[in-house]
Amino acid sequence: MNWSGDSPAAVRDAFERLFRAEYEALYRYAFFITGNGPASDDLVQDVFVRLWEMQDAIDEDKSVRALLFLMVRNEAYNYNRTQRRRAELLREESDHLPVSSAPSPDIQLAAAHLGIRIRRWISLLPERQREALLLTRYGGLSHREAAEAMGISSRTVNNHLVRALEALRDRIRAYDPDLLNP
Amino acid sequence: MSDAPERDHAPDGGALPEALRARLDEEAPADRAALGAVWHLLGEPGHADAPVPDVDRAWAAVEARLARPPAQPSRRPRSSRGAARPARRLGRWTAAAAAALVVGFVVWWSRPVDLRVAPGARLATTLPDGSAVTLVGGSELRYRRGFSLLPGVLGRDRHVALRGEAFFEVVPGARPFVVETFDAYVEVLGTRFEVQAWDEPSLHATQVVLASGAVRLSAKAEGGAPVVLREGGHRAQTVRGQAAAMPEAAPFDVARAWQSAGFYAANQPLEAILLRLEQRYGERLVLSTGAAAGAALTLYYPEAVPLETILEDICTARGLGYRPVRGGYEIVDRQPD
Repeated sequence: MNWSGDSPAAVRDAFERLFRAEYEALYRYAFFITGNGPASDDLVQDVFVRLWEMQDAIDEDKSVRALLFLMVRNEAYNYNRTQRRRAELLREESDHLPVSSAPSPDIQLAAAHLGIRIRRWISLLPERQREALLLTRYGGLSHREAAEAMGISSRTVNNHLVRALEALRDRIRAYDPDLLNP
Repeated sequence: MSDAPERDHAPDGGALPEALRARLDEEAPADRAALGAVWHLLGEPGHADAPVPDVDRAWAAVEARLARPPAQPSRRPRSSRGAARPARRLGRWTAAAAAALVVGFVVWWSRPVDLRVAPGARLATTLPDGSAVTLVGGSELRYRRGFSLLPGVLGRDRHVALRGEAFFEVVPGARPFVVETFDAYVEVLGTRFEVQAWDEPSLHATQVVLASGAVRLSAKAEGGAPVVLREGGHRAQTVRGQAAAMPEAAPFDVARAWQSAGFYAANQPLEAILLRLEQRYGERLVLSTGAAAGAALTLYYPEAVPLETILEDICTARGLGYRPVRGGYEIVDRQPD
C-alpha cells in the first residue's frame, strides 16, 4: 500500500530524469580530476546508486546537485589516492618504472587548438581554484551550490574564481593578447 | 527546497554569474573587462571536452543496481514532516532534474558539432548557413551548432575548425566564413576552395587551393603577412608557421577532382602523399625504402580510382615496388626478378 500518493515508478522516473540531466556534467567533472574515462563513468554511477540508497537521509535544505558534485569529487579524489598508492607499490617493485611524459596521440593531435591549451592551463591551477572554476563554469552550479559542494563560503568560491581567472588571463595574454579584446 | 532552478550560473558564454560580477566590480576597470573576457572565452566550445560515454548505457547499469525505493516507513514517522517524505522524494528528484535540464540544454548547445570521418570514408554535408563541405577519410570538422553562441545569438563569424582535407562551397553571407586549422586561418566571403591541414610529421602545413572567389590565409603565429588568393587554381600554404603564396598555380581542376572523389597532389613529398592516401582509403601504407624519401610528386586523378592504381603509378614513376601486407601495402625497392 502506498499512502504517500507517489508510486514507486514515478519516483524512479524522476530519479532517471535527474540521472540523465546530470550525468554528463558529473562525468566531465570526474574526468577532470581523474583523467580516466572508465573510472569516471564507474564512480558517477556509484554515486547515483548511493544517492538512491540514502534518499531518506538527504538534508532537505541542501541542494541535491551540490551534493552530487560533492560526492563525485570525494570519489574522484579517493580514486586518485588509490591509484597513487598502486603506482608507489609498482615503483617499489621495479625501481625504474618508465614514467612516460609523452602525451597520447589524441592529445598531441588536438594540442594545437586553443581549447586544449586552456584545458591544460586549467589543469595547472591550484586545486581549489580549479574546482571553483569547474563547478561554476562547466558544472553549471551556482555560487551557493559550488560553495556547498566545496564546503566553503560563497565569498571564498568567488575569491578562488577570481584568482583562477587572473592566472588564466596571464596565460591567454602571453599566448595571444587579441583573444581578450572585446 | 533549495534546489529549484537558479539563474546565476552561466555555462554558456552568456552573462557572468551575479556574484562574480559583483566581486569583479571591486577590481580596476581594465582588470574587470579582461577577467570577464576570460570567463566568456572559457565558455567557447571544446574547452571542457572529454568523450562522454553513452548515457543510456550508463543509466541501464545504474538502474540494474537500484534496490526498490526504501519501503514505506519501516520506522515510525517521527513527525508530520517525516510522514510527508515520500512525496518530497519525488518532488526532490523532479526539481533537481528541472534545474539541471536548463543547464544541460545550454551545455549541449554550447558543445560543438564534431564531424569525424572514418579513414576510407567520405562525407558531404551542409553547414548551418547552407554552405557545402566535403570531407575525406580521417578528417575532422568542428563548428558551433547553428553557427551561434546560443540559440538566437550569432557569433562574430561562421567558424569551423578543420583537421584533414576538405572542399568548401561557401554561400555568400554578411558574416565572414573562417576555417581554423592547427596553424592558420582561412577567411572567405563566398567562394569554393580546398583546405589541407594535417599536423603530422610527414605533412605539417595548411594548404589552400582556390577554385573560385577569394580567400585569405593568415598564420596563427605572429610576424608574417596574410596571403590573399583571388584567382582560381592559385595556392597558398603555411611554411614554418607563416603564410606564403605558392609560385605556380595548381595544374588541374581541383573542384572537379572533389566533385568526383578524385585525387591529386601538386608537387608533394612522397611521405605526405602516402599519409593522405592512408587516411583517404583507410589502408596502412608503409614506406620501407629510403630511396624515394623527400622526392616530390605531382599526381592528378579527376575521377575516383582504386588505391592500387595510384600506388602502381607512384612506383612506376619512382622505380619502386609495392606488395600487400596486413592492413595495407608496403612500398619497397623494386625487386630484381
